[in-house]
Amino acid sequence: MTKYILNRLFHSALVMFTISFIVFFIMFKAGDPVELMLPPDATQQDVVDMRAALGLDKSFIVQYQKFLVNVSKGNLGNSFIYGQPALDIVFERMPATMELAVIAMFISVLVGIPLGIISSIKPNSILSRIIMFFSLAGISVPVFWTGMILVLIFSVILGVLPSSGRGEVYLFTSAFTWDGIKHLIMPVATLAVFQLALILRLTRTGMMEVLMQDYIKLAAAKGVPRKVIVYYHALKNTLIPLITIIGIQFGQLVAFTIVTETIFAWPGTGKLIIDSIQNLDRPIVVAYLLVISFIFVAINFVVDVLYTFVDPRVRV
Amino acid sequence: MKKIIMGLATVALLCSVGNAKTLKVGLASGALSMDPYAHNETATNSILSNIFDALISFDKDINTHPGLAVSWTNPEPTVWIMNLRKGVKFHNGSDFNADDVVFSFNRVKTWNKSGFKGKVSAIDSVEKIDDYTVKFITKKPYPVFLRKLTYVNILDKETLEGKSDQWIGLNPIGTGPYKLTSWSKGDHIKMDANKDYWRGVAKFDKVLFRPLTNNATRVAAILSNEVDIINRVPVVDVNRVKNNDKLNFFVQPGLRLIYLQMDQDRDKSPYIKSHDGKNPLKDVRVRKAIYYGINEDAIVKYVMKGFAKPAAQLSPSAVFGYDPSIKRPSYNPKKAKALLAEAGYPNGFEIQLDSPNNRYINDAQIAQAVASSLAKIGIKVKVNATPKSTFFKETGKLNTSFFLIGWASSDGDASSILDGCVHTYDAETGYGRYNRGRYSNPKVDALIEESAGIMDPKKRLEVLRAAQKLAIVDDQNFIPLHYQVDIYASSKDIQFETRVDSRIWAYDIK
Amino acid sequence: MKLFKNKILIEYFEDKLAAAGLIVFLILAIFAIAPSLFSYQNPYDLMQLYLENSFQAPNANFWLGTDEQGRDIFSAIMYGLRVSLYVGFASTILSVIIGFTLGLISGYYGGWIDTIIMRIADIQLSFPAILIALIIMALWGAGVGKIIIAITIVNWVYYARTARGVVLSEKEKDYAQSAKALGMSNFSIIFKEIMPNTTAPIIVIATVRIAVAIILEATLSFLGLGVPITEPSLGSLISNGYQVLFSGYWWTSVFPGIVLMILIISINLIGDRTRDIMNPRLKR
Repeated sequence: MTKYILNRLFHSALVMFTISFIVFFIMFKAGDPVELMLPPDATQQDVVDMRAALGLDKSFIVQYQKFLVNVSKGNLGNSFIYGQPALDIVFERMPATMELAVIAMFISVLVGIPLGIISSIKPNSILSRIIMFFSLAGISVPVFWTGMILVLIFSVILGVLPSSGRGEVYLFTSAFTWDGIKHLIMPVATLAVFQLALILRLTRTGMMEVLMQDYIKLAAAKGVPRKVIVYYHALKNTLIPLITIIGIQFGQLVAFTIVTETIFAWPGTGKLIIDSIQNLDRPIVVAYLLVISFIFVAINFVVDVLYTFVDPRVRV
Repeated sequence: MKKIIMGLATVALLCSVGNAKTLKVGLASGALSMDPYAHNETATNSILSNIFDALISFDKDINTHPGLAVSWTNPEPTVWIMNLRKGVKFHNGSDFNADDVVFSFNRVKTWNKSGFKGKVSAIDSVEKIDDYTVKFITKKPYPVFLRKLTYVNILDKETLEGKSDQWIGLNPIGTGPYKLTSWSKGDHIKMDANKDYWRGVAKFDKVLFRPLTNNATRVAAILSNEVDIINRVPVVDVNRVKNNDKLNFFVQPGLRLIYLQMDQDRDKSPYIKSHDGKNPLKDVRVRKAIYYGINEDAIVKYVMKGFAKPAAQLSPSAVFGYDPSIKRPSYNPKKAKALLAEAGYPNGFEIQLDSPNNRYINDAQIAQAVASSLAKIGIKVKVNATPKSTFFKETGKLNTSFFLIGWASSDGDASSILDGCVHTYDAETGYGRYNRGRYSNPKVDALIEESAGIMDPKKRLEVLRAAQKLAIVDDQNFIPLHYQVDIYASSKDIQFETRVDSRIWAYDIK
Repeated sequence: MKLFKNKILIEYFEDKLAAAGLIVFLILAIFAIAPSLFSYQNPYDLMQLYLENSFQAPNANFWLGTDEQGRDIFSAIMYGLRVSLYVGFASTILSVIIGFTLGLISGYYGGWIDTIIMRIADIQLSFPAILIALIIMALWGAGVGKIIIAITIVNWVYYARTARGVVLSEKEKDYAQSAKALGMSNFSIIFKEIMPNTTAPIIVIATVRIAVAIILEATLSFLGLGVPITEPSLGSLISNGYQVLFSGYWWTSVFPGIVLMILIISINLIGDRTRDIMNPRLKR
């Protein structure tokens, strides 16, 4: 068991290291931001000076080495543009993004699983077919389109919801203030639509497969009440793979916040990363990607280990 | 009963007068740092101008006025004695005096990340004469000295000496009308009025700047009253703003010229395909053909929705060096085709036009419209619109034959564009750093260099105009398109006047 | 084989909605293959554009209106469909070829090849697709070929994993073992014996991933990081229109958006039905 955990830990570290290398390399190739940062009346000498000041005149190996040394001290460098520690800037914006992702995931699960169960029990009923059609639409519509249409309807035409920005924050989140909630509704809905549809469909397929199994038929023959069959036996066996998927999908969700934040001018990390890529602000791009990969790697690690406890067929 | 009502009314009135009134401004971009020397770009300069003062200040028409310097003398051509204002205090109570001026200028000149070195490159030394007098020595007689001083915000030596760059980037201590209370990058900048401001307390107790980079978001914010002012109203939204009776809208001719540069140096240019294998842009007739062949009026009308001023020269009318005698010829595709044929290209040629897509107002759309125009005279243009990071990198490496770019003469003097874009490229002196078509005419260079030392404004104007005429009328070194126009919208409840330099100075707003 | 195919088709058409989806998709595909037959102008030929036509609302001349440069939106949608479908299918085909091959080799030979390929796959899977594609495109620049490659890089993993999974279970089976005993070369075993059994799962995955590929391209183009402006896809059309959506010029964004939605829904309908038919565990 310990061997397995250590193995996964090593694997996770390897992933992080590889990602940092690739990203650093790509950003290195992309060029430096000095040209963009200096005004037109700067001289060639100024460009050279600024490049040296930011440490960009050294070779790739030297720069990467310096980066690794700093990382071991917990320092991911200073943003070229803002001059402040990149990690601080990323963490400053994290709560806003996490807020969106967590609330969206919560809603997707809360609504998606029940709807999935309902549509799996009697798959050909009218209600099921309606649910299925909407879920199909849900996974067919790109995130940005959902956002656009919501803003068009609720902000521009009806004028009932604010078109952008984050509301008042209380205790790290804006979900506790009415102003905050008003600003949260559309971005969260935009993110949740796709997720909800996906979870719904997965639950449905999972439940349908399980309900066909022999042991279910046996239980029904034995006279076990319907409700118990569905909510206890079937659901239990569907939940395990579902939880795995939800864990992985959370990662996707965070990635899609990039699009949502762009549309709603939400001050999170998504907007930061797009701007930083445009501005060639390498430290922030690297810091962001490392933080995100850390989150995913951590989630994957936890899911992997949990799996061994939960699913008796997976023995290490 | 009446007495009670009157009483309540009076109380209400008193309350509203004493209330902290907040001015809310929606901006197209936010500040990149609170260190006034870190980034020389309009948005940051605009925001920081509320927190800091310089020795000289610009009014809204970019005329110079005393700022932290009350008077000055110019006893010899290269010597300037500045007399400083007494009794001014920084936001933290520290006194303003000559030490601060010397500290500031030394930092702006020598700090390795300073973005303003170019503005002070002509200053040789700064010396304290006494607590309220400073002596500047310039390398050569420098006619635009006072204008350049407006760019150097004065920092407090006592507070900042020894502090890290990072600390300075987060803690702006100035002498200006507002103090920073909170900064969340990309989200908001909050300021409180400086009660001891030497010009008198500002009308608004608080200012909230909100960067709303998305155009639609920014417009939505003013239409829903979430902010009181916005800048850079997109041209397609002007009608919505105009038709809203709670809003005023303002059109301010700006300082930025949008123009095309052409590769006039290489015999084989990387992105041109011509029937004879040569570079057609080296022939002035081809360049003139392009000038006559672009329907700029249509571009202004349809792409800019009327909100741009067609340009015929490098400097707009507000800039010293403008020549009213130079006029833009009308769109003439017939003449353009004739010129092309004369130059040996009756069937035109193929070329790629590079343009940024996120730097200037409607940049990529302008490029496409230019391409569409040129297609009609036989020049097949492929538009390559890229984000500014890629664009400036590639054009900087001269990996281009033909590109769209802008230049803002923010000093208010033609020398900036002549030095930076028209003069032959010279890596040592820094001339022509943005002359990426590598245009070179020694006669023009001589005129530009001559003008740098003439102190008499009348004579200098003549020389500047002569340089410009040679370059743009005779040689057609660039294709001028138009000057950008700044469009603002503000609530009718406030009094707002626009500035030529695109800044929003909250002190002036009532 | 022929009988087999027909049976599937018949079963497919039992579901009316899926049938409708297939027909809609075929119509869109025809538009995409020969847009010039159906459009009023080639919106990417600069000789045919006139600024005077800028931003016209839907009218008799321009059924769906025009954009800022005077491009007919209806024509632009036809050409945009072509780019969207081209990118979606090309990247899927490439992903299948690469992923499939790598997965088969990895599963069959095992050992260090397997370890390396799966490690790479794992690293990639720990990362959301859109981020990988975003960084590649942001730094490489826009381009149709480039985005096909970026999406391929993102998607090959799914096919590889599936192929590998199937190979792992198939190679122990009798028919494979006996082929080996008979002296068939490894290559022949993989491609003649085992591969046919993997096509079903691959089709199942592909039907999901095609829609994902199209959505990914649309999203990247929306962010300005996909195809170049001279060859727009539906996503870039929506993006351009988005800039002016709230200013009243809604047709430039809404119509391409509706078409994109219909395209993806039809693909998903086809995919859903195909999967339901082929899923052995749902056989009644």
